Amino acid sequence: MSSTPISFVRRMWSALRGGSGLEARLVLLGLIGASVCLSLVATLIFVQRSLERSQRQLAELAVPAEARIAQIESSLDAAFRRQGRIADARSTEELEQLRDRHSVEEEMREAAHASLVAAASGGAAVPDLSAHVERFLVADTAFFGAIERKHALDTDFNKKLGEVDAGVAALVASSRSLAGVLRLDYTLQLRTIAESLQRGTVRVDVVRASTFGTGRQAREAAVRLVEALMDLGWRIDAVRDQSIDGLASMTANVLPQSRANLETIFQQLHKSLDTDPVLRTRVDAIGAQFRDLLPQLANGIDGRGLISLRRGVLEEQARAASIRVETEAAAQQLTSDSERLRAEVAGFADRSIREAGATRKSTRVFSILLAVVGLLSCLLAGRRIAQGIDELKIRNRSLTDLKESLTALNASLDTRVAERTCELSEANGRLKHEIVEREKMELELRLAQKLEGLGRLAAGVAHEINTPVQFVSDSIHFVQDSIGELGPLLVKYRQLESAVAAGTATSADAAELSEARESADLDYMLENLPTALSRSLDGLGRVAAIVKSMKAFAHPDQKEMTEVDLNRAIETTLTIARSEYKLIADVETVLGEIPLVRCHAGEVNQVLLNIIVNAAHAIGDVVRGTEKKGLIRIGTERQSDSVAISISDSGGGIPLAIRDRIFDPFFTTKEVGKGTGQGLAIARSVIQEKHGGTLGFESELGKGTTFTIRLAIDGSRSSAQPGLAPASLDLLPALSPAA
Amino acid sequence: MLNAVSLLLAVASVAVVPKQEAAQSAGEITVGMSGALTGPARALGLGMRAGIDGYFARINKEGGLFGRRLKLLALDDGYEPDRAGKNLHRLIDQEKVFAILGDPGTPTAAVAAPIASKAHIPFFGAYTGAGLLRKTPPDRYVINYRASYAEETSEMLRGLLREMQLKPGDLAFFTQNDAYGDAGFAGAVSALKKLGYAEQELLHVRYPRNTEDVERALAELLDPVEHPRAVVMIGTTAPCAKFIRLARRYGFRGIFVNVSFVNGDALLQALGGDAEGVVVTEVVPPLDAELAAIRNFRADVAEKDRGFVSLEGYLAASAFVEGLRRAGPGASAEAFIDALETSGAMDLGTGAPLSLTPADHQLSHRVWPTIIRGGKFRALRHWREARPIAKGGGRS
Repeated sequence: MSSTPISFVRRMWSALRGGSGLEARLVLLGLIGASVCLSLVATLIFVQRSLERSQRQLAELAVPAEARIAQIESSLDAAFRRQGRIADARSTEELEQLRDRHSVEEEMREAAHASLVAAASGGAAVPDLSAHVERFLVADTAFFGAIERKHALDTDFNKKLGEVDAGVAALVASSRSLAGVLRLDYTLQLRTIAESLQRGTVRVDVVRASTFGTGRQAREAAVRLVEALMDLGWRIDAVRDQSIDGLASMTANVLPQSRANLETIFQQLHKSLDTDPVLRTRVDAIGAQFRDLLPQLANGIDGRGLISLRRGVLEEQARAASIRVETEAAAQQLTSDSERLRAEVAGFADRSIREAGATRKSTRVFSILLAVVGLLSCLLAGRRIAQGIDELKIRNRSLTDLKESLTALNASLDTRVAERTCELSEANGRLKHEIVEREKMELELRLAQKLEGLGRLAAGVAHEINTPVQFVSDSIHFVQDSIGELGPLLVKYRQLESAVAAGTATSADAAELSEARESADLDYMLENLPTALSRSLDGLGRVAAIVKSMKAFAHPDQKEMTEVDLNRAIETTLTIARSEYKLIADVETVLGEIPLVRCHAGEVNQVLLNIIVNAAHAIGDVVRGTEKKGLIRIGTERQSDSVAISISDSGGGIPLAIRDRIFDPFFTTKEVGKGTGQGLAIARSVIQEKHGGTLGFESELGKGTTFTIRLAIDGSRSSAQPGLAPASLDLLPALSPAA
Repeated sequence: MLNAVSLLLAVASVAVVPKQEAAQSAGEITVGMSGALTGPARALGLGMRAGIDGYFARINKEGGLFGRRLKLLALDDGYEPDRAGKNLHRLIDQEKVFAILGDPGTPTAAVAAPIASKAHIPFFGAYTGAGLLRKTPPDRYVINYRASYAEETSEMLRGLLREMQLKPGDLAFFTQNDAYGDAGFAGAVSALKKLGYAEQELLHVRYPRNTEDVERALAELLDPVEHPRAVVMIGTTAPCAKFIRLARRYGFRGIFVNVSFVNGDALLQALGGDAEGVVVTEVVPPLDAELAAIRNFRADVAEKDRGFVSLEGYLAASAFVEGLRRAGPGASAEAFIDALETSGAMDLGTGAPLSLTPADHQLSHRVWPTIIRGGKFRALRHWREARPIAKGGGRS
C-alpha cells in the first residue's frame, strides 16, 4: 500500500477516472460532503455577521439616537426659555442670575455630539449638528451681551432721567416761587387800589404800575416760565417712550425750540425786573440752573446725555432682537437637522429590520438545503455501505469457496500436481487479486463511515442552528413592530412638547397623547425591547458557538501534529454531537487541569465523536420509550507524562461475549445499514497506531461502559509519520499496516 | 442752638445704628421709629423721640419691663416718603423691631404703615391724625394714640362757626399740597356737613411740601374780592409761620387756626411776637395742666425738650408700654394687640380713661384748643376769646 499523499491523490484520481464504480462514487460523495460542510460554515458565518450587525444597529441607533435628538430639542427649548427670561429680565441682578448657561451649553454640545456618534455608527450621512450648536451658542452669547449692555445703558438712563427730572422739578419749583412772589406783589397793588377806592382817593400811580408797568410783564413772563419748564418736564418724561426717530426729532427740533423759548422768557424777566435786584438775581440763578441742565438732555458733554443714553438702549434692544432672529435661525437649522437625523435613524431601523428578515429567510433556505443534502448523502452513503458489505460478504464467501477448492486441489495434489500446477498458480493469482480487492473494500468502508459522520453532523448542526435562528427571528420581529409603533408616538410627544412651549397645550392634547401611549402599550414595549434584543444576542451567540465548534472540529488545515487542548476538543465535540444525545442523556464533564497534547486534532476529535455517539446510542437503547434520561460522564486527568480521557455511559454495558470483538473491523451490534462497524476499529487504529496511545474499556452489564483514551503529552510514542496525514478525509492511517 | 444739638444727637443715633445687631434679644425690647430728624420738619421727629426716650428711661430705671430694657431705634427720613419706606424695611427686616412707635408725618405714614402692617408689625402711636391710619374697620396692626385731624378740624369748625358765629364763606383753608393737607381739608369739609352746612365752594390755598413758597397762596388769600375772617391751616411749622407773618405784614386781620401737627411750640418760637392770638388745637393736654401724666413728663423729659410733640411721644410710649404690660412677659405682637383690644380701659394719668376695641384703634379722641397769649399757650376755653384783640396787627 502506498502511504504518501501524492500516491493517495493519484489513487483518488485514478479511482475517479477509471477505478471501480463504487470507489469513484464514494470519492465523489466525499467531495460533495466536504464542500457541503465548507459552504455550511461560510453560510453560518455570513448569517451570524449580518444578524449581529442589524442587531447592533438597532440597539445603538434607534433608541439612543432618538433620545439624543429629543435631548437636543429639549436643551434647545431650555436655551430659548433662558433667552426669553434674559429678554424679560427687569434688573441687572435678575440678568446676572441668568448669565451662567453652563448646563444648557454642556447639554447641547453633548447631545449634538452623541447623536452624531450614534448616527454615524450606522454609517449615515449625518448633518453637522455641532456646528449649528456652536453657531447658536455664539449668537446666544452675543444676545446676552446686547441685553446686558441694554440694561447697563437703561440703568444709566434712569439715573440720568432721575437727575434731570429732579433738576427740572427744582427749576419749576423755583420759578413757581418766583411767580408766587410776583403774584403777591400784584395782589398787594390791587389791594392798595381797592383800599384807595374805598377811601375815595384813587392812587393813579399804583393803577398805572399794576396795569402798564414792568411788574405785569414780569408776572406774565414768570407764569410762562413755569409753563415752559413744566412742558420741558413732560417732554423729558416722554423720552422714555420715544422711538429712535422721535429721539432724533427731539434733539434736532423740540429741545432747541424749548431752549429758545425759555431763553426769551429769561431775557424778558431779566429786563422787566429792573427795579427789583433781589428777584432779578433769582431769575438769573434759575437761568443759570437751566443752562447747566441743558447739556444733560440731548447728547451730554460725554455723549452720555439723556437722549443719547436712551438711543443706546433702543439700539441695543434692536441688536438683541436681530441676534435673537439669528439664534432662532440656528435653532431652526438644528431642529430641521435633527428631524433629518430622526428620519435617518428611522431609515436605519427599517433597513436593518429588512436585512434581518432577508437573512432569516436565506438562513432558513440554506438550512433546509443543507439538511436535505446531508440526509441525501447520508442515505446514499448508507446504501453504498450496505451494498459494499453485501459484496464483501459475497466475495468472502467466494474466497472461502476458493480456499475449499484449493484444499480439495491440494488433497489431490500429489496425483494431480503436474496437471494442476498451472491451475493452482492461476487460482493463487486470483486469490491475491481478491485480497487486494478486500483491502480496497475496507478503504471504501472507512470513507463511508467518515461520510456518515459528516452527514449526521450536517443534519444535527442544521437542526441546532435552526432553533436559535427561529427565536432571533421572533425577537427581531417584535423589535420591528415596536419601533413601528414608537415612531408615531414620539411624533405625538414632540407635538405636545412644542404645544407646551408655545403655551397652546390643552389637557385634551395630553389626554390624546396618553391614550396613544396606552394603545401603543409603551410600558410593555420599553419593558420587553431590551429582553428581545438580549434574546437575539443570546441566539446569535449560540449560532456563533456552533459555528466555532464546527470550525474547531473540522481543523481543515491540519497536516501534522499540533498542540491541542483536549478539554476544548471534548467541549467542541460535545457541541457537534449534541443532537445525538440531548434528548436521551445529560452530559457531565469533569475536566481536570491538563497540558496541551501533541496530536492530530481532527482525528482525535473523530475518535471522541465516535465514542460519544456510541455512548449516546448505548443509552438510547436503554432509555428508549421511557421518560428517563441517561448520563454521559467525560473526565480528563493528567497521568505523569500522558493524559487520560474517560468517557462513561449509563447504557446497558457490553455483553461479555462480544467484548473481545468490539474493536474488530466490521463488527457492529447495530442493524444493517445503521452502523459500519468501523467506528471503534478506526478509533483504536488512530489512538494506538497513529499516536502510540492506548484505548481501553471497562464495562459492566446493566450499568454502563467506560472507554479510556491515553495519549502521550509530547506525542513521542507516536509511530505515525508526521506530515503524511491528510486533513479531513484521513483514510490512510487506517489502511496503514500495523507498526 | 437747640436744633443744632438735636441734629447732632440725631446724627449720632443714626451713626450708631449699624452696630446694633441685636433685634429682640432676651434683655431688650427694641422698637423702631422713622421720622424727620433733619430738615424743616425735624422738630417733630426730635420731639417724639425725646418723649419716647423719656418714658422708656423711666421704665428702664425701674428695672425694665419684665426685666427687659426698652430701646427706641430712630431713623431719619427727612419727612420724605421714599426714605421712610426704606427705613421701615430696614427696621423690620434687619433690626427686627417689635413695633414701630411714634412715627411723625402723614405722607410718610402713608408709605410706612402698609409696610409694617404687611409684616404684621404694630404701627403704634404715629404723630398724625390722618384718616388713612383710621380706616373702618381699622387695620389690625395700626394703633393710634391721638385724636384725628377730622376731630381737630371738627372742633375748629365747631368753635369758629358755632361759638364765633362765623359763616363758611368767612373761612379760608391754607393746606400743604399732599396727603396731610388733603386729610385736613377733607376732615373740614365733612365737619361742615355734620354741622349742617350745604356743600359750597371754600377758599382753599396750598403750598408745596418742604418749601416755604407761600406767596402764591397768600396772594390768593389777599385777593381783594376775598374777605376771609379765619384761616384754617393744615401745614408744618416753617411755611405756616411765614404765611402768618406775611399775612399780618400785608394787613390781614383774621384768625389763624392750626392743627396740632404744626407743632405749636416750634410755631411760637418761629413767629415770636407775630404769634399773638394764633390758635392751635392740641391732642394732648396743655403742659401746665395739673395731671399725673404731666407731672411725670416734667420729671422725665429735660426742659429744653418739653413741648406738645414730646408730650405726645411720652403719652404714646406710656400707652405702648401699658399694652406690653397687659400682654405679659415674652408676648408676641399678636398677643400685644389682643391685650390692648380686649383688656378694657387704661388710665395714663391724662384725666380720662382710654380704651381700644377691635372696631376702634384710637385711644384718645380728645382735642384741646389752645391760644397763644403773651408768648404762651393758654387753654382756649371759649372760642370767642380768639377774636383779634388789637386792630394794629402788622409787625410788632
